[in-house]
Amino acid sequence: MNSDRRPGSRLPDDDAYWQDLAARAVDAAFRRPGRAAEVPGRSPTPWWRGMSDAAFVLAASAALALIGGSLLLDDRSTRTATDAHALRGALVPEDDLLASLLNADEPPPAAALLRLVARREGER
Amino acid sequence: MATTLRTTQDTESLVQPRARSDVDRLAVRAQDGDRQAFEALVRRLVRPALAAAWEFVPTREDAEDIVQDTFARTWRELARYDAARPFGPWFFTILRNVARNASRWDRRWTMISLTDEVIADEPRATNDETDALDRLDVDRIHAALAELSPMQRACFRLTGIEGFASAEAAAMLGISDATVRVHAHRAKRALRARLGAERGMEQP
Repeated sequence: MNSDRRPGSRLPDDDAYWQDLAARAVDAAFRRPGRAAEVPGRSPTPWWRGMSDAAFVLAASAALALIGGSLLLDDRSTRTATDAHALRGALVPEDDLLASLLNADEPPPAAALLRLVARREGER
Repeated sequence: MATTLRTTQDTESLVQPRARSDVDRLAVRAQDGDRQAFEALVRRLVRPALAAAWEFVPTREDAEDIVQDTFARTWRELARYDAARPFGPWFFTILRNVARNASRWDRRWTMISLTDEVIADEPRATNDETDALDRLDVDRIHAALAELSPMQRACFRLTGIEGFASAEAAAMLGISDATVRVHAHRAKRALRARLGAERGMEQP
């Protein structure tokens, strides 16, 4: 591979070596079982990372609509401030559930929106 | 004594600013998920990658680890590559970041970043200087290299010994072409001062 290399070069002058190193590098990249080198410091990519802003807003809106719809099924005419307080408390488990679904390594915006909805419901 | 350099066949297109090189085209194909193109890209870049990595870690095994991590990250991050730009500098930026994570060598990288851009352009080394160094025996060269600053050593080794063009070494080290030439020139001058008398070389 390097038949006319300079004296003092410390890079191997052996095709087999370079082919093997390239193969190991490819393995590391594709993480083939058995030969792949683990790359530290890499956390799993959250599912929403690949979504566009519009798609994420749509998904968050859908999630909110589902929860909001369930709220509307309640008899709003009889809801009182106390009911709202109870309702906010009832939302917490779903909030946590959504947060866990998001598997957030950062605060999920949808969960923040849920808290806002619950807070506003409580203020009515 | 061999003076013909052949490493440019591996890296001839790493730093071309305009025309899209073979390396760039392979990168674009790999960006679209073409694994065979990525494998070809690895084969094209593995040699300069090891040469660059070895400048920042003490052993070949450490350098090989950096090379593997670099290609792994390159594959993962390919979507971020701007195909309008040469692939080489982008790739070696990843390599340097991987090397920087080897905490033992942080100080070395700090030194490099501090010395970049503060050195005025100096005359290019002449072929006579390079030829004179070619005549020295390898052990003495390495002993003298050990006394150079890391940046001088890296620039001289990549351009004077491994045969990379100064522009290629610049991409590999993340510094300007002119800075590479300045460091290489100063390294040769220092080596001449140290080794010249023993071999009857002209002192500067």
